[in-house]
Amino acid sequence: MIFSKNQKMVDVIHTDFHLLKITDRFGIKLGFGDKTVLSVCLEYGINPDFFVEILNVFHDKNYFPRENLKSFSANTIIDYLEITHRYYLKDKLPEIEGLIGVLVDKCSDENKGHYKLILEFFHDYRHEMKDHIKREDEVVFPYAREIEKAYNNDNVSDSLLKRMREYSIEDYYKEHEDIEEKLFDLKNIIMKYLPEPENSRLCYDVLNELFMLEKDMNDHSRMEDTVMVPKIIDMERSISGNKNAKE
Amino acid sequence: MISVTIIEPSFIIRQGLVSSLSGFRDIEIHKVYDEFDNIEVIIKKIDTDIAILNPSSIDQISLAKLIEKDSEFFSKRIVLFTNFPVGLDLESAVRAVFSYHQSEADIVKGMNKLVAELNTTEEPKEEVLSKREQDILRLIALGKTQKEIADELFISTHTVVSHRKNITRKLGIKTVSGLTVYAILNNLISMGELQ
Ligand SMILES: [Fe+2]
Ligand SMILES: [Fe+2]
Repeated sequence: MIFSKNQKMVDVIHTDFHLLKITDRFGIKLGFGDKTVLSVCLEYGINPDFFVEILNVFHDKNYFPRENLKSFSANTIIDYLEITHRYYLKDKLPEIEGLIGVLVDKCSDENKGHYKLILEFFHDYRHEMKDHIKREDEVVFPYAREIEKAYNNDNVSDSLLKRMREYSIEDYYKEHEDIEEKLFDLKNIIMKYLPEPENSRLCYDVLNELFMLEKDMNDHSRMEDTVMVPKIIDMERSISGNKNAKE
Repeated sequence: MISVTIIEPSFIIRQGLVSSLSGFRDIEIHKVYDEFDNIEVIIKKIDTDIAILNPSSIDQISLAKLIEKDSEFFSKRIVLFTNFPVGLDLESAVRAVFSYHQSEADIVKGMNKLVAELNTTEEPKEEVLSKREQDILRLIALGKTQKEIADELFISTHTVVSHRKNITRKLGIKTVSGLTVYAILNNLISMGELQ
């Protein structure tokens, strides 16, 4: 099923309620009435074509129209990556840490020590994510935005060229870490190696959250690696090509 | 179960590969790439049993260079899926070659053969760490580098790396901090040792 912007928003959510995560991320509140995706987007000042593609990518793991996604401006793409970062940092990661905290609290004294290990593990992970995201928000994304600006105005400053030489988007791509690895480990530790939990229900909740976050981050990294990176590489090449031609 | 990476730029073909391979019980599709811009980087990232690659999307010279750099990897793990006949050189440099024009029966037969070959290397269900692997896991958990572990156990770093890979495969844990948690849970190290 591929969604279109002329569908009713409420029907989209009926088809896949996980998409509420996306509407939430874009700041769209409930109370859609019978409005279409298009009119909701216009109301919130969101690019409807981009929004629909994001819905589709999130909904169908085999759907990833890279070329079409690349056709949106780097600004639009990065705006989305940034709101996703905030969703991880402000909402999901603290929420899951809280949930694991409750799990630890409800453990018998005998198990507590072991369950505390995963709380610490997740706590460290949250801090690593903070650093990963900080670097993207403060270094990589501003650079990418500037490249697009220079490309659009056909005007590149020497300082930007210098930055390009020192740290191009390709360097970022090469050192871009696999942020889902630790979530993968944590799932296995919980399912395979921790002592049987006294509170299974809570454990399922934690696992459920971890599976969903892992999938979400997979989509996110894919957007960074296979949409943003090649788009910026193209612009970098064109900028330095033009510069050489002018000289 | 064998794991597969798919690298195919065409949408239709990619979807076709994904959906036909999903039909195999013993095949698990791990990653799907639709691009070739960064083929070298992608190849470095491959951690699956095999990778299915469309050779027509890379120029011959770069492909030859990549093969030359890591011929063992190509002959073990790379499977070509191609619309055009490939030369004998290329055919003998990779694990297997499939063509668009083969019948369903031939492709299924070929894939099953591949699965059978690769699956034999897999261990039985219950994964148990050997004594040596436990020693190495202990040292990893204590934060030692590969070099330090190699020196301490009088083995090469290459051997350490291959033990580490086996540990990860057996346990389903990839990161050092994950391995550390495992080591504590299984009393391979105590909390006190971790400073
Ligand atoms: Fe990110
Ligand atoms: Fe990232």
